[in-house]
This record gives sequence, C-alpha cells and structure tokens, in this order.
Amino acid sequence: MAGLLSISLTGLNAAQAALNTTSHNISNASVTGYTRQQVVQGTADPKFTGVGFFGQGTEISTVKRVYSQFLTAQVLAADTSQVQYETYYNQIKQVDNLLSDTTAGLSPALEEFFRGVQQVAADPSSIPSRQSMLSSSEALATRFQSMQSRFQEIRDGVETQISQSVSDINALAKKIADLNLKIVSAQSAGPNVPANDLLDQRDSIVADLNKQIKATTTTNSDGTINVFIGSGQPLVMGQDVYSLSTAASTTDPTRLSVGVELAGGGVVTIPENLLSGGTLGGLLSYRSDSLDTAQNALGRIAVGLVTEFNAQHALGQDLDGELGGNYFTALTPAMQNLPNLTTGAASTASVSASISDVSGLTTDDYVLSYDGTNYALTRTSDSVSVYSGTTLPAGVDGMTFTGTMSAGDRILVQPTRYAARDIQVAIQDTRLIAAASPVTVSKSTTNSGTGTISQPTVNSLTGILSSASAHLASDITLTFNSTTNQFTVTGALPATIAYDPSSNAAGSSVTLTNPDLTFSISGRPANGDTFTISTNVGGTKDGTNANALYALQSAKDLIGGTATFGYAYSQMVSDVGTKTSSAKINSEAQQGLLDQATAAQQSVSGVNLDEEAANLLRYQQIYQAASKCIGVANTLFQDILNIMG
Amino acid sequence: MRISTSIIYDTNVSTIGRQQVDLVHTQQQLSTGSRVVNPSDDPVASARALEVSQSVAHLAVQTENQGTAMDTLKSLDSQLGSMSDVLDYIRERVVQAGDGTLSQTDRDSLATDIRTQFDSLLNLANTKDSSGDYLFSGYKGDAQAFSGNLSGVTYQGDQGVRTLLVSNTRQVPVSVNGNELLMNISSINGTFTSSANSAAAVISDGTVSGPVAYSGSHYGIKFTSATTYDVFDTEADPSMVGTPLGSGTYVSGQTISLPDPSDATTTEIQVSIAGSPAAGDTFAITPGSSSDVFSTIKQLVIGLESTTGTGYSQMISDTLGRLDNAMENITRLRAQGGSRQVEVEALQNIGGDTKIQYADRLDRLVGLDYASAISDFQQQQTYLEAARNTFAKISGLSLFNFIS
Repeated sequence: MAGLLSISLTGLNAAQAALNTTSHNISNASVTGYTRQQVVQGTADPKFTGVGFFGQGTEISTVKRVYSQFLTAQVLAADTSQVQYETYYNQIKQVDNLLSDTTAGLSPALEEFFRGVQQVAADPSSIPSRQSMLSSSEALATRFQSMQSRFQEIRDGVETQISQSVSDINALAKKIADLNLKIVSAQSAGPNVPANDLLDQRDSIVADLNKQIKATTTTNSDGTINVFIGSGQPLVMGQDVYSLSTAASTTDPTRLSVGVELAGGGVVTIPENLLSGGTLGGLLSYRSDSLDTAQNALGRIAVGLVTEFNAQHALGQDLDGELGGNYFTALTPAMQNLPNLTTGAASTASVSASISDVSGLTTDDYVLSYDGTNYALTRTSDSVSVYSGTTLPAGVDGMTFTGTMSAGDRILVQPTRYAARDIQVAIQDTRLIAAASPVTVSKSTTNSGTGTISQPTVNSLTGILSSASAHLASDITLTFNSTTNQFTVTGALPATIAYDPSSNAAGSSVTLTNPDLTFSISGRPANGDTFTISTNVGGTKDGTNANALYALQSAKDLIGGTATFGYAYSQMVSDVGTKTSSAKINSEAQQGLLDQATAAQQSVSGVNLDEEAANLLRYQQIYQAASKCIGVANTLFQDILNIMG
Repeated sequence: MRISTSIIYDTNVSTIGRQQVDLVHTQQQLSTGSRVVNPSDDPVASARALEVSQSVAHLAVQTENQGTAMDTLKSLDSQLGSMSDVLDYIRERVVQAGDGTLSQTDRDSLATDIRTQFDSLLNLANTKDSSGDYLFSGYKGDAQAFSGNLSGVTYQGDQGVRTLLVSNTRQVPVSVNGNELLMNISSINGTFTSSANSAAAVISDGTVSGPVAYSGSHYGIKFTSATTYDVFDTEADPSMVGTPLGSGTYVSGQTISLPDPSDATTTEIQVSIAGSPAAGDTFAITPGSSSDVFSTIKQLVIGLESTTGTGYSQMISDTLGRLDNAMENITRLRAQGGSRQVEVEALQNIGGDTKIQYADRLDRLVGLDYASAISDFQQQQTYLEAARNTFAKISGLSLFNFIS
C-alpha cells in the first residue's frame, strides 16, 4: 500500500509539474523570444526483489527549452540584414520623397531661372525682364538652399541615430553581461539544470542587439556567452563589457565614427565597412553610399552652374557699359585642416583651392596630404589616391590648389558638399546684368560689296579691357584685299585672315587670338571694303551675352562634359531612385527570408495553443488517474482496517 | 509540421499590412494620375520624365519668343510699309516735278510738300517700341536713331540687329538698323554709280551684264563730237588722254557697253545716255557708293527750289533712281521680314506638334493606365478582404472553445 501510495504520488507530482509547465507555456504564448518548455520525465529506478524489478513510479529529470541553436542563428542572421536594409530604405526614402515632389525639386526652379535669362536675352533693355531674371535666380538659390537644408536635417538625423544606436548597443551589452552573471549562479547545479527563462531573456537581448548591429556569439562552459561584432571585436566577454563610443571622425570632423573603448583607456576606430548589419550598419552604409553622394551631386550642380554662369557673365557688358562681375557669389571647395599625422595637433597648412574645370568635378570628398616630399590627394570614400607629386595638385578632378603645407599636414577637401548651401546671387541691381557683348561690329558705309560680319562672340577676356568707355585697346579693322583674297587686320592678331568670296560666301567662321573673338564672315566683299569691331557703346538692346548665358542650359558642362545641369539633376534623381528601389527590394526579400526563418524557428520553439490545450487535457487525466490510484490505495487500506475492526 | 500560434497572427498581420501598403500605393497612383509617385517606383522613367519636362520648358520659352518675334516682325512690317508709302508719295511728286512746263512757283510748292514728307519720314524713322526704345537704332536702344533736320540728318545708332531665340539654334533677326534701312542704300544693282558733267545729256543708272562681271573698274565716257565717244579706263588714265578702251557712235538712248579693261571682249556694264551731249562732255562710272534717303530728299528740295536749266533733269533722273533704290531697299527688307515670319510660323506649327509629342512621351513614361490601375485596385481590395475574412475565421479556431 505504501508502494502504491508513493508510486501514485510520483505520478501525481509529475502530472502537476507537466500541468504547471503547460500553463507556463500558455501564459507566455505571446512573449517575444519565449521558447516553449517541456518536462523531461523518466521512470524512477526500479526496486529489485527476488521475483524481479518493481517499478517505483516516475520522476522529473528536468524542464528543458525546445530550442534549436541552428534555427535561432538563422533568424538572427536574417533579422540583422533585414533591419539594415529597412533602416537604409527608411532613410533613403526621405531623399526619394524630397526629389519626388515636382514643385519642390530643382528642375522647375532651374527651368524658371533659364526662362528668366531668356527673357533678358529677348528684351535686354527691359528693367522688368531683368528684375524677373534676378527674382528667378533668387528662387533658384533658395531652392538649392532648401534642398541642402533638408539634406542637412536628414544628415543630422543620421548622426543622432548613430549615437543613439551606439548607446543602445552599450546598454544591451551591459544587460547581456548581467544575465551572464545571473545564469552562472542560477546554473550552479550544472548545465543539465538550465535556467530556461534567463536563457530566453538573454537570447531575446542578443536578438535586440542583433537588430542594432550584426553580432556573433560563442557559448562558454559555464553557460555564459561572448559577443563579437564587426570583424571579431569583442563586445561582451563573459561578464566583461567593452563599450563602443562615438567620436568626431579623424577624416571628417562633421561626422561621427564608431570606436571600441580599450581596457587600458583610449578608443580604436572601427572601419565603417566592418560595421555591418542592423540599424547601425544601415545608417553607416546609407550615410556613405547615398547621402554623401546625393548631397555632393546636388552641390556639384550648384558649383557647375555658379562657375560657368559667372565665367560667361564676365564676358558680357552691363547696362552701364562695364564688364560683368560675379553674378553668383563664387564657390570654392570647402577646406578643413585635419590633425597633423606626426604631431597630432591641428595642421598648420595654408592652402586655398579653386574650381579649374567643372567638368572634372566628382561627387567625392578628398584628403590632401603632404609627407614632406610628395603631395597626395586621396578620395575619402575608397581611399584611392587620385594624385601624387612634388607640387600641389593642379587641375586634378577639376580642382587647383595653391599654398603651403608642412610635413604630415592633412586637409579635408569637399569641393561640392556645401555648395548648395552657399549659393547666392551676388548682384541686386538689375543694371548689373551683363546681357550685351562688350564689342560690336559695323561695316563701313562706303563698302560696295555684299560682305557681312556677324556679331562677334567673346571667348575670353584676353585683350578685352575693363574700362567702360573702351573695351578694346583700339578699334579692330578688317580690310578686304581682293587680289590676295585676305582681310588685313589691324588692332588684333592674327594680322591677316584668308577669305575667298567664291568659296566662303556662305559663311566662314573666324577666330581672332588677341582679343579672343569669334565671328563669321559671309557674302562677297569688294576690294577695300572695311569692317570695324569696336566697343559696344550704349548697346542696351544687345542680348548677345544673355543668349550665351541661356545657351549654358543646354551646354554639357558637367560630369566629364557629358551632362547639362538638368541632366545632372535627373541623373541624381535616377541614382537615388534606383538605390531606394533596390533598398526596398532588398528589404522585402530579406523580410521574406526572415519570415521563413522565423516560421521554421517558431515551428520548433513556438507555443501552439491547441497543442497546449491537448496537453492540458492529457496531464489533467493523468493527474486524475494518479489521484484514483491514491483513492484505490486508500480503499485498500480501509478494507484492511475494517478487517482489523 | 507544427505551427506556433503566434506565427498565425504575425503572418496575417504582416500580410494584411503589406496588402494595405499596395492598396495605398495604387490609390496614390490613381489620385495623382501618375504611375510614378516616387522616383524609386521607376528611376529610369522618372529621370527621363525630368529630361522631357526640361525640353517642354525649352519649348515654352521658344514658343513665347516665337510669339514675340511674330508680333515684332508684323509691327516692323507695318512701320516699313508706312515709310514706303511716304517715299512713294515723294516719288509721285518727283515725277510731277519732272514736267518741264512747271513754273518755279509750282516747284516751290512741291518742295514745301516734300519738306513735310521729310519730317514725316524722320518721325517714322524715330519710332519707339513698347518698352520706349528706338526701333531703328540697332543695339543702342536709348539713342535717338536719327537726329537733325533737312539740313543734315545723322544716324546715331549702331549696326546691331536684335534677335530672338526661336528654336534650339535659330536666332531670328527681328529688327532692322537705321543704317541699313535709310542711310546706306546702294544702287539697285549694288555695284556702281554713274555721274555726268554734261548740261544737255543724261546718263542712266546702268545694268551689270552679269551678277559678278563688274570688278570695280572706273570708266570714263568722253564725247569727241556730238555723235562719237571714247571709253577710257579712268583708274589707269584719269585724264582720259591715252588710248581709249573702245569708241562708238552716239545714238540718244542707245546702250553703250563698257568692256573689262583687261579683256576687251567681255562686257562688264551697260549704260545709256540720252539727250544732246557736246564734244568734250564726260560721263564717269565708278564703283557704287551708297546714298542716304535724307540727303536725297534734301538735294531734291534744294534742286526744286534753286536748280534751273539742264542740270535739273539730271537731278530729277538721279533722284528718281535713288528713290527707287530706297524703295527697293525697303521692299527687300520687308520681304526679308516676311520670309522670317513664314519661318517663325513654321516653327510655331512644329512647336505645337512637338508639344503634343512631349506630352505623349511624358504620358508613356509616367502616365497612369487608369483601366489597369482601377482593376489592380479592385484586385488588391479583394485580396485584402479575403485576408481579413479568413484571418477572422482562423483566429476563431481554438481547442479551448471545446473544453468546458
């Protein structure tokens, strides 16, 4: 009877334990990271008698998690990639949205600007036309600035999120270390008695960490885990935490770089390309892949427009007869001295840069350095050297540098980054728009031939004087000599121009070298016919230079001479669009993988309520049956007592 | 295979979420009428659409300029027409003045009439455009084109020709400078003028025998008697004493051919002389210099008021020639303006077609096919409803419902 009672009791206890575990599973069904638990039950050691072994009931050996290391690792890997792509997508979508708005994009402002220029070309003396050109220029500058400031907001947001993400990572690392400690003490009975819920908690924190940055773990014999990030930088070693920190980058003080704090103090910067996965990985790759490129591409349009427009504007003459000044404030590459490589103190270099060729401009940033012998210009994006030589770079990627540097000096050069912020219309007075050409041509009234010379195009300021009353040192005369079929030139070089009326009558383009003028001669000049090129005095109705300014709209000045300003912008839109689209596709594909991995992992570890309901019934019945056994034992015992009584 | 209960919920929630995103996207397409809501929807098409929009903007500017060019050319044409009318009127008066029976009083009254016409021509030549700039002063919009009066008019503009950009490359000239219009009128054939010193004979404005035959030679015709003449190359022999290039018998009004000095068999110019020349009379033919309308009228007025005798008919003949040249010049400029109007009109028509093409291109790039978008929308709606319904059914299934 005692045997029956005690055996039944083991069954009763076991059923109760199973019921407890089942109800624990049901209660935690919706807890993220919860792994369903199972009671591991075995028969108790049997009792030997002469006739054989009698079972002694059941015993609970342990409560285990139904857990697959492999499937969990797959979920983690899929999750960290998914979060990275999603973060990237959410960030770049802001730029995508910015560019999608046709009223807020650059295109309409650019079109309106050139329309203003054309209005001046069509009616150069009209003050309202000129005012409208100035206003549309202001609007263009404002549009550049507002897009730039939106980019800057996005950039500030990225920097804030990077530092937020790093502090999240540190907090999670601390929690993992704490849980390591708890698990060690909880599992003091040995790894066969797992601290299930603590392990779940730790796994769930590792999963959270993995959403911030891709992390790998190894398990130690005492049940603690080590966590590594990047290319194996330790984040948690058992109960020790190696915190990450953010600091201004040594190659660009305006951006944060991530480093790991060393035990002995000091911080080692982790290269950005090693920090992949999760929010942090997404932010860092977005910042270098998309944001820098897009912002610099916008800046490149601004630099190109300002430089080319100013150059052409300088070749014209305003309403007062003066040569054109800067129409937009001139833009130069942003320069920032970085710490000297040898001394560590700020570089003392004094270097200035100018844009020498807008078609050479790229969307890269550079570091200019000097080792005492050679100057080197290195792209920051991929650390490729684009120039190395004993003199400062001239005409490299569209830039020319002058100044002095000491050995070890480094300078951050950003030719386009802040251009869209700094663009400004330099003139306010409508009279200062240089719409006219500084020179004009006239034919002598005594000419008897039919020769004509077109209005000259000024190619450069060579030989053009700045005095308002005389832009040429002397009038240029061209006199035709029918014997030699040449024009004799005075006041300019070359001294003669060949012109054969019988073959050139349809028009022949001629370029003088000094002053640097181009015009075309056509028709049949007679012997002695003369043409005079002189200062364009009072030429208020001349829109020659305004037309040349308007022609810049269709000039392929950017990206190695392949793109107009508008095309450069549409290329930027297309680039951002493609990146957004592929980020979205990647994110969705990764979501699919994550869903599959999660379903697989959950199919092993997740709670199924129907299953638990069945278990509930099963263990209830076992419990009831074991109770019945005790009842039977009781009846038997009563029977015996009755016999005795 | 087992399935965890939470996965059922998670999967359904994310499926419904995704379907809602699709549905909203289609709705955005429908409400904006554009297939490409964000550049990322179709990066290539949206970049191309931007380029097409730029071309549309280009075209809009050109269309605007074409309109302005048309208006400017039309108003220029009517200005030139008015000038032509004035010159025509003067010419009629000159023809009248040619009547040998007119008394000096009649001539004086004609002169008075012509003085008035002179003022009216000067006024027309100083017309201003809508922005208050002088129409015929070239680039110098602020400078009064012509200043002075009958005693002398000077042109104060320059030779600039105002242009408008009417296509990608074509700058169409829309103005005529005063120099070309009134001040620098070459003789009709554009190459030479003739002059005479005879009181009793008149030399005509001749014709060049071919478009390029006249090489700029200077000729002199010297009458050796009332009926014979010699032709000299006055460039080589200004005093006409050497060997003549040729000689002939004079018949009033008959054509005299002037040979090329270097090749006596080629005729360069033909002129005719009418009247009764006397021995020793000379006529000169020199490379054409130009005349200006104002001094032509001035000389006419002076001639009418003070010239008498035989010089008078040469004056009338010269004036008629010059006026004809001036009117011919204006006609030429009007024809030029007219052909430019035709050109601009053609561009306007092309522009209209191009605009439609661009709109069509834009539509194909980013435009929305409403039929398929609405069908998509309904399909997505159906899917979403199905997902919602089945989810409600699945979530209602639980063994616990059966445990009492």
